[in-house]
Amino acid sequence: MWDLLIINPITNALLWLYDILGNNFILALTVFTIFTRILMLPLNLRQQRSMVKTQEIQPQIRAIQQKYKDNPQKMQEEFQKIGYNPAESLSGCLPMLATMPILFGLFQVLRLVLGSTPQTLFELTQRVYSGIDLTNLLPIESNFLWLNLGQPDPLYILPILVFVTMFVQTKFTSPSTPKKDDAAKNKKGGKEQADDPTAAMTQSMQYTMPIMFGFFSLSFQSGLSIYFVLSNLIGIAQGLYTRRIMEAEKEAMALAKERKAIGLNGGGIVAETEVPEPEPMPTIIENQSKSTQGSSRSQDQSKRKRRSAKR
Amino acid sequence: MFIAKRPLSRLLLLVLLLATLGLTACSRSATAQNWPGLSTDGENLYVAYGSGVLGLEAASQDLLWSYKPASATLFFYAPPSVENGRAIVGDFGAAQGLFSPQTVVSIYALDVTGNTVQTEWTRNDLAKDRIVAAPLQVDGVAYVATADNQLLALDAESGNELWRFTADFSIWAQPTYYEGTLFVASLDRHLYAVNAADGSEKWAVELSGAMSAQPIVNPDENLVYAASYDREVHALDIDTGSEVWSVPASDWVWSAPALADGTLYFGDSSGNVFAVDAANGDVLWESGVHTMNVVTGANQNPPAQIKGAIQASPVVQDGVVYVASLGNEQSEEGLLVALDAADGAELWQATTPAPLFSTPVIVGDTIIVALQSEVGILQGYKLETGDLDWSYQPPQASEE
Repeated sequence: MWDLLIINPITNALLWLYDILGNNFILALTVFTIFTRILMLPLNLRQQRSMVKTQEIQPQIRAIQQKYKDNPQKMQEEFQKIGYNPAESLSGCLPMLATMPILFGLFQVLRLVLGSTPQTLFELTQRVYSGIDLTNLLPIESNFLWLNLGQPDPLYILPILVFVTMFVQTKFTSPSTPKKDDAAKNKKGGKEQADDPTAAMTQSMQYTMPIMFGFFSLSFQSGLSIYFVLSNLIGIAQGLYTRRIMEAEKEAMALAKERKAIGLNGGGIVAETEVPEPEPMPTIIENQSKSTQGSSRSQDQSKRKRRSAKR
Repeated sequence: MFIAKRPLSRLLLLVLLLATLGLTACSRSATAQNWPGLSTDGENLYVAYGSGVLGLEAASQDLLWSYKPASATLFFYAPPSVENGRAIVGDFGAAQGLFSPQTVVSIYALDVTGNTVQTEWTRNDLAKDRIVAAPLQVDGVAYVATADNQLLALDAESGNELWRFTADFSIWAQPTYYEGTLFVASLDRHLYAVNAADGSEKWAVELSGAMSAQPIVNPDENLVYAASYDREVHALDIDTGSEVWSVPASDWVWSAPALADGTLYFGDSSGNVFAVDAANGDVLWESGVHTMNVVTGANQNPPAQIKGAIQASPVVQDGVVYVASLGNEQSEEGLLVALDAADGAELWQATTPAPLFSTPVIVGDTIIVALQSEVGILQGYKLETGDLDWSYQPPQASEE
């Protein structure tokens, strides 16, 4: 089943791309990477939005957890009220888990396609679809610059690139976390940050993933490392783009709320885009707002603005 | 390093860790697979079977010598070349550790006279990719083809490099020597004629498919035969490389044809065996190795229709063509078939416990096949009947 659903389609996709792109394996790999990123785009966007959203309502979540720690039923109800679904935190891992089969598959496929033994070539012949003429494709060019794409990079450049691009990508695709000195200013705030699962996950991923993948790229085939680098670069561009879009949306929403608050709006247009405000948790939020990050602070600021406008 | 404090983070990290570990674990095992390499000097057998190389007496199957390098990550699959008590072998190479990913491939000269092995010399600075082809020893020179496109000429005594010839892609086929010329088939689709004295190119001919089969020289017709993945066998003029004739097969021709009594025999990946006139390429007969009479694993009756691709070269002796086939893919059994050289009629067939990728060898009245099987890496079958004569499994390290 694995072969049928993962290995054979990836193998044939790469061979087909290699064929139509003038027998250039790097080009084929690049197009394949772009295609897989596009395939994962909806999941990635959802993950990014979900992370930002969860981070923004983190004070409310903690307050509810604190308040109803002995009443899980009520806790769930309160979570629902503020639009938080704990299962969504798990779904945030989906893009990463969804890319795992491609990653594993590509690893095996590169061994097959670029493997320099008769046995791997024989295995390859057993997997090629009838529409692809392997006779015309062989030998598959596996050299690119100083690299043999079927072997690890002897100059260590790719592992470094994998680490750097993955680190930058994780930075761009994760919601911003509070600076260390901010947390240090408020001990309680620092503890809350550490207890925040999303932030903890984000922060751990920012460091462990690049280190791990950079480390293991030392023994991966160069082709796979190039896939990582390309994928990360696309991820960085995607992260930047999504961040801009979300900031623009946030600004538009804040502006609409302010307009409504000061009565400049006729009501109809803003009412369509308005998001229901979470139920206020005055006492707890008051304390937490000191330690939460910029986005929460800006939320509080806009609330204060609205209050003053009402006055 | 930041340590996650939540189960979710830990789970995620665990998944990532397992994934990367899985990938790297795969990388170790995946790079070292091929079928065993088998050769003979007419009396003894020499086998490269993965972790080591060994020599044994064919008649008694007594182990003569065994060579295993200290590193457990090194693998041998190229058939050893043994001449005058010196075995030349090449390994598949290995990275020198996680922080030194450069693949290092070694060529070894072993003194195998008597029942001991002594390393005469080792060169690990000549090749950067696997040695798939059997080395060739002629007049004190060892010719070693590598998967990093090189044909190396080494002094067999000292290991000193005499010259090197570079093709455009990997060389998987053993070169063929004939009167001062080496004929080299490469995956780059070229057949090269190389001057054995200095490595200069005499001529090169591009065919329409890659080649992994050793070229075969026919001095009587002044032809050199090249079997190709372009589904043809080409006959080229020895002196100029110009094509004299070609004969089509049904599928890829992986291995070298066998030349005997003016007839050329070869098999293709669809399980067809061809006999053609070596002079003009006229097809004398064509036979399919598609039917398996005895399928021990599946116990099928009536006989199974199989694909039975042919990867190995046929072997011809005393009017019989012996063909090793991959056999039944479902039951993972190989097939050894004896055909009448005159008309291709099947004389007998034997089912082997694993597909047959390597070319068999004949010693005395036994045909020996090399396998990737737990039953044994070698099996001997009687030439007359195809009955299993013996199986051989190398001793474990503790028994040696």
